[in-house]
Amino acid sequence: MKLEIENLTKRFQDVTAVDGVSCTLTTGVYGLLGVNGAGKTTLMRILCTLLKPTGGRILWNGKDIFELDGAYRRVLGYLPQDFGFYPDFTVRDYLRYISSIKGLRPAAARQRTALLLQQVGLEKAENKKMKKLSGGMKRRVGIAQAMLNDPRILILDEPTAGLDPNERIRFRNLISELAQDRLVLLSTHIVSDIEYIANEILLMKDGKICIAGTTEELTAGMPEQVWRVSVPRNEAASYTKRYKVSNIKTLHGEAQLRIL
Amino acid sequence: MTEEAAGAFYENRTRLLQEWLADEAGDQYSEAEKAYLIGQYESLESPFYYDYRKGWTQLFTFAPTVVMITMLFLGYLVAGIFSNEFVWRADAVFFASCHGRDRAVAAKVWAGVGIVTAVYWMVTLIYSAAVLGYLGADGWNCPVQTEQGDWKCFYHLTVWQKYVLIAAGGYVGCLFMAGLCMLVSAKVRSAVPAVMVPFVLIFLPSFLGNLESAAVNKILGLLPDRLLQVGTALDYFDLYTLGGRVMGAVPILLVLYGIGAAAVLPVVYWCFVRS
Repeated sequence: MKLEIENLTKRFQDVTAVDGVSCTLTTGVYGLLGVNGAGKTTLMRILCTLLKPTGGRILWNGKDIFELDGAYRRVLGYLPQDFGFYPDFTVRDYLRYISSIKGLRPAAARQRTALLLQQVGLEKAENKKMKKLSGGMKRRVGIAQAMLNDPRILILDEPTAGLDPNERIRFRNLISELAQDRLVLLSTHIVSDIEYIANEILLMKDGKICIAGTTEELTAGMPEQVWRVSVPRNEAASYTKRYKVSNIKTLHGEAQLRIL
Repeated sequence: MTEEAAGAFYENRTRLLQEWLADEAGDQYSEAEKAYLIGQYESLESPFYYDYRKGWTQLFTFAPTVVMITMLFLGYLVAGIFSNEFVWRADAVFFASCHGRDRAVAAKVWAGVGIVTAVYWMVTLIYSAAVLGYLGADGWNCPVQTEQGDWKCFYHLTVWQKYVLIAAGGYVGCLFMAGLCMLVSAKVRSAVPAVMVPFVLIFLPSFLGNLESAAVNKILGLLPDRLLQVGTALDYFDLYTLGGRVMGAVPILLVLYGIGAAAVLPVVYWCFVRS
């Protein structure tokens, strides 16, 4: 099982969102880390055949994904960053509908729906309308719909955005559970989301993947050290101008800075 | 009516047409079209068979209103079929699915056709059953010319044939307009302009009808709103020459928009699939 990205480029008029990205993904969890506007969502949308690349290609087990078309999307599960749904559907009806457009037979759809609702902890909410769900519950429905066709490739675009800390932990554990024998590509700008669950992290900036490796490799490869210093509160601003200050904690009469 | 006047009843109909074509309408029709109209009048079987036909009269009086309201309602029903995915931001999941670019889109198109078919025929049959059930269906085999408003009609039709044309024309018109609604909805990704399509197609021609231009009338005679009021269109002298043959507007409308409705659906499909 191999997803090969070869020199992938995507331009929107005068903006290059993805710039010559090349990598090979196999089984495991891949974290795609980058700031807003780095090109993560564009890359993921191309991987889901929602956008056509300007240059380069993507191969799934040696075949171009755009030529494979429906056959590729059959093994794909996608949770978009901006997850939309049909507000008046109940959770169960929504999953059944998505099952039908994913090509599942009714009997298989019923089984998968029941199993996934249990797995994401929404069995009691199956008759609730989608518009009545909380943010965390909607995200869980989102992951459930992505898993309906038991995909070989699971693409999750900022799945923990807007979730409270408890929900984020639950989500991370769920993804770890689902990642067995699967290729999971998870994008985020929150390091702690992927720090412990990703087998490999891909750092994306300005459309390019600048570094790739395990958490240990990335942190070991960084030349900087983190320093903690306490300064008078009125001097904190001048330190911020001179150094890379990653955190400021204001205490009684002083400020504690973490400097890279 | 005297016995002599009664004897010339049917000849007077043709004579009055000939006088009108020679005088007032002299420049509105070609010689071939005039000959066609006179030929139609002369070949109409007489004497007319007349019967009680109050049910049909009542049915035809309100048929255009019923069909137009049904079409406006259908516009609301189908306008969101293709745009709601984008409005609710569910398009990413839809298009990333296995059938998101083929069978699921085809299912949406067929759902639109199904809604139009089910709602239109349900309304038409309920309305027809209610009126004819109460007032009776007698007079179904009378020529349409026995109705006061249809006295000048040049089509050789009986009352039940007129009903079939009204029903069929309304269905083809609704199918075509609903297809256009869905196309606008898929292209613009919003239901609001899509809902406006039937309003524009139905009401705009009525503002152009006062221009008193033969050329404009020729165009107005082939607009899709005429299919929603076939009963009225049968009374107009809208004539067209195709391949050397003169014919009325109604058969052309049925064929033209039947093909149009069949053609717009694949366009809707391709437009949405390529989103």
